[in-house]
Amino acid sequence: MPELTWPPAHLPASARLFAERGDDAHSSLDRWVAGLWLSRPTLGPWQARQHGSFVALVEAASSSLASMPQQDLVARARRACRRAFMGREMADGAEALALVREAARRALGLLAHPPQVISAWWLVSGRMVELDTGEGKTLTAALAACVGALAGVPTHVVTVNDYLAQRDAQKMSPLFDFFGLSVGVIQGGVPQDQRALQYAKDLSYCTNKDLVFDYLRDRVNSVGAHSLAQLAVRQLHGQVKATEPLRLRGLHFAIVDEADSILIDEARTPLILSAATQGGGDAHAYEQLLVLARTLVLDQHFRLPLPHRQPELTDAGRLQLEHWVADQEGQADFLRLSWVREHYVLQALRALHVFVRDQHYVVADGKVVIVDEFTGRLMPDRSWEQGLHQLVETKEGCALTGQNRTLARLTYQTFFARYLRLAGMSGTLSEVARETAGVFKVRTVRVEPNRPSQRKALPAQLWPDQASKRQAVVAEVQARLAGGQSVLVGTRSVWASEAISQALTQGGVPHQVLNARQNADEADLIGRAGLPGQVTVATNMAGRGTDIPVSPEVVARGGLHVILTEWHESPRIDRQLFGRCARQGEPGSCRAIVALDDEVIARHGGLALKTLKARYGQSHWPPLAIAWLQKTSQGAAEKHHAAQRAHTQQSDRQMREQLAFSGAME
Amino acid sequence: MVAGALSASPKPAELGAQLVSSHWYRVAGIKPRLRDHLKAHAHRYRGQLWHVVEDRISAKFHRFDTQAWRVMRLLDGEHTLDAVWHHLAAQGHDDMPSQEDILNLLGQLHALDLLVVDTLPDLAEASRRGTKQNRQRWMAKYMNPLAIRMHLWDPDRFLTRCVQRWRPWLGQWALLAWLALVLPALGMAVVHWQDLTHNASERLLAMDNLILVAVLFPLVKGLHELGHGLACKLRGGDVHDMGVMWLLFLPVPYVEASSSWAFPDKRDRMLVGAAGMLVEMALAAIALWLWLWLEPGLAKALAYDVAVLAGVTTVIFNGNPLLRYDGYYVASDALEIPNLAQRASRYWGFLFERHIARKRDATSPAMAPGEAFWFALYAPLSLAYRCFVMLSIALFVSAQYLILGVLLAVWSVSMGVVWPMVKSLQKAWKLSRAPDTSRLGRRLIWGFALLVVLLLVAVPLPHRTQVEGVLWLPEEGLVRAQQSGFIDTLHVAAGAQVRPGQGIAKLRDAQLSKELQVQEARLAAAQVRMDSALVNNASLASQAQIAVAREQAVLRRLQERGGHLMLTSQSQGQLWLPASEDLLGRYLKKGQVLAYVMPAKAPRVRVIIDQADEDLIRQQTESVQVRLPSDPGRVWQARIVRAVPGASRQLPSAAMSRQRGGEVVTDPRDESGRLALQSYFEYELALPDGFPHHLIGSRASVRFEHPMEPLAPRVWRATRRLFLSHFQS
Repeated sequence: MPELTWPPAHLPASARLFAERGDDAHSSLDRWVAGLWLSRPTLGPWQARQHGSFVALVEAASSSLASMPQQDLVARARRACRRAFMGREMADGAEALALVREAARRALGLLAHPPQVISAWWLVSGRMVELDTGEGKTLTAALAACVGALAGVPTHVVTVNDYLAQRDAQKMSPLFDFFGLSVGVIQGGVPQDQRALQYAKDLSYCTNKDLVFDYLRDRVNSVGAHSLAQLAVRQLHGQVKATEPLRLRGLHFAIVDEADSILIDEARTPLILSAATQGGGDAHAYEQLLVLARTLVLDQHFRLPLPHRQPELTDAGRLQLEHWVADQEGQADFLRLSWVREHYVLQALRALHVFVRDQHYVVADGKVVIVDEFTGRLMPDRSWEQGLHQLVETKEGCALTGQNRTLARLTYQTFFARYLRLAGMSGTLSEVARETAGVFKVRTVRVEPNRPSQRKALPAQLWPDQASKRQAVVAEVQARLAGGQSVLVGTRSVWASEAISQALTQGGVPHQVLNARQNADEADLIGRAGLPGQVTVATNMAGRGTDIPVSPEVVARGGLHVILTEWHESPRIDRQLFGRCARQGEPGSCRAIVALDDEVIARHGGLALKTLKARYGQSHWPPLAIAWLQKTSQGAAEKHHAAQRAHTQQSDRQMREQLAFSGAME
Repeated sequence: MVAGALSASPKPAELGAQLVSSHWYRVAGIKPRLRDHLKAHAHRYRGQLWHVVEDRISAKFHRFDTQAWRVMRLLDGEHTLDAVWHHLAAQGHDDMPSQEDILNLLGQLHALDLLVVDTLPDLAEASRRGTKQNRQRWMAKYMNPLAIRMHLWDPDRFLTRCVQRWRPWLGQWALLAWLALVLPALGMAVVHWQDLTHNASERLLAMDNLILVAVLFPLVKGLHELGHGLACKLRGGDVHDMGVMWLLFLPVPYVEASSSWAFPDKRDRMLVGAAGMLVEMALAAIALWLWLWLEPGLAKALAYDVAVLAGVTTVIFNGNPLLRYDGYYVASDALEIPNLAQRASRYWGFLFERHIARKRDATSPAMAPGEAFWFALYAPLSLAYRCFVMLSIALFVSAQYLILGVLLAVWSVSMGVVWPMVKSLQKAWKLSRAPDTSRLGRRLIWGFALLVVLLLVAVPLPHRTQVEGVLWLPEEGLVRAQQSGFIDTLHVAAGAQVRPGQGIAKLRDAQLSKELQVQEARLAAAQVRMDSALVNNASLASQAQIAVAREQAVLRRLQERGGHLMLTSQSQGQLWLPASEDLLGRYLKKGQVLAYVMPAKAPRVRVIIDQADEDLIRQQTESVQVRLPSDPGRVWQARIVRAVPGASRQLPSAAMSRQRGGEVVTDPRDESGRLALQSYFEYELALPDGFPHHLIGSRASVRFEHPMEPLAPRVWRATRRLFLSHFQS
């Protein structure tokens, strides 16, 4: 008999405010071994049989449910879900899911497909589920969340953006109402004093960012207390002022949508909770720094070594700085210290040479706003540290914002590893199975789609430069439009989407643009993208979680055509974009049109690029050569990022060790 | 004396370090202070000011540079770290620590338990750290079988009383007395060097003496340790721990005199470090005088042992700065380079990082002028010496205690050589994977690794086996006495040509000639008795006939022996008579060689070969070179003419045995001195013509040249052989 208690007794408890898993103190070797073991391959036929038998169990349990009255159904579901969630036995799971599926059929009029039921079960038992795009992840997540909430466990469904959180919660609310479960929604628009209320509901839909920031706020408000009791006592004695109530109830069960994006891609940058300080600092000093940095010459005074392009000063550069300071009698006192000077000059060089407008940031309403490189979305509440943000603002002539005072910081990696049970879904997870297994100790399962995909992947095209690539894209768009399909053109950056838009305008093709600068009517634009004759140019923000409805005329003539204009640093993101077309067994087609001077190829192509260039030069490249180039450059980029993530994790751990004297870390 | 490492403070801020740390927010508001029981001492190393912080509870010492100390001084528990940082920034030194430096420093202070903070501690971290420290202590204590320490008593009161009582005599007078004792003894040692060293190993390693040594060793070392304690006490330190450490199953006393590290004057520290050796030298000197004066007996043997023990171990182990004993600490104090060994190896790591991995931000552990030179010198020398000493110990132990010894040897070699190697490989690997290593650096690391591997695996190096042989004639070239006797006449002059069968010398055996006469008389008597019996009593006659035949046989045998008195040559060649001028009248025992008949061709070389090398020599010998001890410059090419198919313990010549200056250990019970303890294969080598003939019996050094072979397969073969031979025996 498995234990029916929550939180489970065998999990290492943490000496922290909430119920959550303690941070593991394992070495990187442990992680590597755990990753290797947990990501071991399962036999396809064995798994198919397992899935088959699970579906058969569900069907068998369902047969008697059709006529069951609602009260009985709910009461039975509560018991079954508790057993299934705590015990994780397959038979219990089948019963629970049969009940929840029946409820969904009655409340939503949707009968979950076998892949959805299987996926929901894997989610309940804490796995990463790779489910192809368009298989109905919203319902799957809702089924699993229902099981968790009915078991009495605070359940978080984590989505990547506000829109999705809102939409999914709304769409599924009849199901939750059926069981009498209350649903909270936490997204950017929810006021702070409402949040505790939302988290107190049986289950909550939240965005990843809000979730982590709320957690951090709770940590900051509790001033390092180890438990709720301790916090209460300290408040009683007036050591801690009870400014606002705690928001969260602990990290119990999370279902992470687009898990690879949240857990892997975004894991690199820590989330920083900060309070802005007054005053923008000395604008003149930043200008001086930029003036100084502009006098430095690349390769003479400083270098930008590949692949990181982090500036380094040469000895000549240092000398130049000294001369400059000597000339500036009486000014810039803070630059007298040689290494302060060097630090700020390096930051200025970064601002000038590494961060590019419309790629790394955009200027909107006189403010510098960071663009997330992976999602292409604007991050208005993020800023760079250590004067970099102010330097970029000075460079762009914006008003200086205050230097932010950090209150707490945390990476997604650390945060999600603290969930007592973590589950995730995405269309592209198998590539990162080892990493998720190593970091989060979660196994990945692939669930085959209900209907086989009808996506036609056309051979990639390679062009020598950006201009010819854009011409090719325009030609491709025109050809597809003539065929009656609608077209989605995916780009990597705001700048690239605008260049393509310009080329299309010149080619006389009417189109709509969806990027970080024009995302106000995102849902509207996406709703129209599948209409006949429609061309949509989008940064890869269109790649995640958006369902483009394709009109029947278009489906009849080949469905949506997706053009990828630049390989991303990870093939997963390419696959996500291609996944926009041919959903749920519909027809669709896709093609990559790339250029040799694309950033990913130029930066990570390495030896393969050199060899192939020497062999084929400007002539026509055979598909095999293109495939090789793609594989090596994306492989190198992925490897580079994986190494960087591992490095982040390691330095995070070292930092924790070093800062242990300052009390428990957030 | 037992000593740990002085832990050192973080490196000084290098250019371009993070000015403000993104983690500063965590610590900005806390008010840390140093623990109350810490005591700081200002020291000067190579003209730089350092602060040695004494943790009086854990008896540990930590060293901080002025920069770190400037921060630490400000940690008073009343000012926040932010205030400290602003205070430092207002001073505006160019070597002002960055926030990251301060975090580093505080992290270290916390890890060393020197810090008190006014926040709630991270309990999970504290318990993890406690477990880790316990494990480390346990590992340090038990994982090293060579050094398991047992605390026995606290000598502080005893030493205090000693110092109180003897203080007047422990100053310059003690030094003068020491010199008066030791210097003449040194002179005497030189004068009596022959007596002292003659047969030293046999005298020392004899079984009964070994027991004496085993008893004396801890006593001598105990005095040595008391010397440390006394010196430490004399200069104001505390000594609270004395006990026994097990070194190679032998109890070795130790004393914990680390409080001397706080002494500000380096001469005081050096005195404490050297005190043990001073005591031992004095002991050795006294023992030497006694040895000279005493009559042979147990007392003299004891004195000899003490003199050798105290003298030799001081020179080889204790006084040697290359091993981590007293000499090392004295030297590092004298050079004013604390932690010389650790920092020297870190310096080589730095050289690798800077010049091969091309890391521009690698920082050298050399912080004062002149340190780099000592680092560069010390690390390789000490590694080589340590390897040498460890391998010698390993060999010694494995010869005596077989399996256990081999395990111990493997352990110490792997801890001393393999583990540091693995560590540095790991470091190089990490370096090659680190994101801030440039592409060039990465290539250079791999290139370097490839080079090393190539050197080990692919680059063939000369390969040879060195054995000992003896120059030897074929058996028929020896003229042996077949019968004992005095040399009567020589028929052939030395140097003359002889033929087979030619008489060379005649022996005279007075007893034999007497016996012959007696026997002839007895035969005659028997004959007479037979004749009379034939006449008188026919039945007795047959008996008498048998008696006659018997007497005749005896006579024949005696006559034969008489014939053997003539020594003849059995082969053709030149006769060589060693010591030919006083041969006449000399007594020869049966079997003794009188002369050699040297054929016109060169002598053969008989070599014995260890079973382990036999296969290699038989299958892969390209050439054979012979050198003579009398003329080492000259090389003779030889070739293998005969290989005895079976292994045997019989040596071809006693000259090969250890007693006669060779290298083979023989069975002491065997009188011929030719029975080895181990079996050997015997090979016979032919030398070219023109080889000097007269060196018969001389030892020769023989070198078998094999095809060139890389190092790795050879090491592999040697390791396999070592284990094979030990598991078989």
